[in-house]
Amino acid sequence: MPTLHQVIVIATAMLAATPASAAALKIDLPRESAPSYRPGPNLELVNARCLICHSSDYAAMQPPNWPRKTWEAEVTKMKKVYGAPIADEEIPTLADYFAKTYGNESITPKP
Amino acid sequence: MLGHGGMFGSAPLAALAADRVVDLPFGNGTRALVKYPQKRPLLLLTARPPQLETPFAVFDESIITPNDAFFVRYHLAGIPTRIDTAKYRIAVQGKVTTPLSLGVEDLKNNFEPIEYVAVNQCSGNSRGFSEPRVAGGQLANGAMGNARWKGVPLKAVLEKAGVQAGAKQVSFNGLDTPVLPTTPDFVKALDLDHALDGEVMLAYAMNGNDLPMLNGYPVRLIVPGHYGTYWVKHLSEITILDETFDGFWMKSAYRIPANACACVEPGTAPAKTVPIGRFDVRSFITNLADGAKVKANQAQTVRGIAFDGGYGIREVLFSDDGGANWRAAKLGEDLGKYSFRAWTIETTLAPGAHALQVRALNRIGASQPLAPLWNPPGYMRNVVETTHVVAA
Repeated sequence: MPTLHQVIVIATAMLAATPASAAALKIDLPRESAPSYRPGPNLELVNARCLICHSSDYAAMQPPNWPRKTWEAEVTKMKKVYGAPIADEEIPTLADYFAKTYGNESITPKP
Repeated sequence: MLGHGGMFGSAPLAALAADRVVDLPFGNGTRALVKYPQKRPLLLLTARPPQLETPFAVFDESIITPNDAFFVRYHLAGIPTRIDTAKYRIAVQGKVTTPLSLGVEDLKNNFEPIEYVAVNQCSGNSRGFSEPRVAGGQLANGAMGNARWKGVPLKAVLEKAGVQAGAKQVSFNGLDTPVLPTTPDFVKALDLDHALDGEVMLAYAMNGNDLPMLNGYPVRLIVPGHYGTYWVKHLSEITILDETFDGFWMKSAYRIPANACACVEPGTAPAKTVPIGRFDVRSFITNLADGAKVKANQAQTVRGIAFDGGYGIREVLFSDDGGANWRAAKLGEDLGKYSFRAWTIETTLAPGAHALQVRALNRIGASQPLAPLWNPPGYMRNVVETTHVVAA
């Protein structure tokens, strides 16, 4: 038996596929499966700055074992190119987090 | 329209636990298969904005990629999730005699439709295989798809508006927006002569149906033979310019080394870049995955697809001995120069390990390199693919 949730999902999918004569099309996106970055130093700051514009999987899919300077370049790009509200003094803090949590300074095995 | 959104309030309706994952063959390549609205389970790169890759097995199911399997790529998280089709308008503005405001019904009723099959491919398709690895969406080979598009030639729309003398480029904006006002909006541009080629299309149908929301409902730009970055979704503004458009997504992003191979020495930066353009030549085996086990000493069919930037595929060569000898495959039905072209070939393999390779040539003699080329953004990968199989 499908769960109530699955029934709702199926109903949603059927409605979303309403043909051309419909006056509107509406979809409901799935919930983000990882609505936080991984535990690490200054996680609160990371979540505050780096979840504004995108989900955490943007970091999780990048190549493993990136060095600190690569993460610092990425954080700098987010500020300078994409206009993220990151203070200059926060850049090393954020790079430190990513190097230790997603990069080559990580001491815990990655999921 | 049924008000189904209101029936359940604002709670996320379609949240589904991913019950399956796919391990792409590069570091941090584990992807959940997740079901999005109007889509079958696809490989989830990122949730916000959504980026979904087509599982490669789909390309063996049919030469046309079904709408529910077609890849999804957004740049900015302000994406439309509800579009009132009756109120939707495309503004045609800038250096024109008569600015226009076109609805979907205007496009369907007041213009002669055109229709063709064309591949859409992400500039960064296959980026995950770049070595050294590069930053960006870490895609395997599934950020491509082949669909039958129907709509209105951009040329007819521009002629109706009346392009003023001195016009140089046309820019395209869609309903997706940045989260922050400091982030550059996603706007792309084509040269005027390209925009007037009669093939660039405002598409309102994909494989005979409305476009799925996540593929640009209700109208997206089709730029056949050219990378998906130009295929602006939820098209809302067409602006004729008397100068070269200098927005971020043209001036700084989606640029390739300004040389014939669009490549540089791995790990180095190009001296000069230009906007990315046409697809290079690619080909894939679709019915055998890397590591597959096959029957030895028994004739079997290997099949796959090939495509290029719109000159058309002339020949597909196949090797079952790691590239020492090449034989021409049999080409399938020609669905047009912008389409995937199916190919098949028979092979009989002795017991043991074999490297199967496929290499396409197009009608201007362009082909695929035997060793991968590299550029910093990881665009345009088109190395001859090798599929390792074991016959027993």
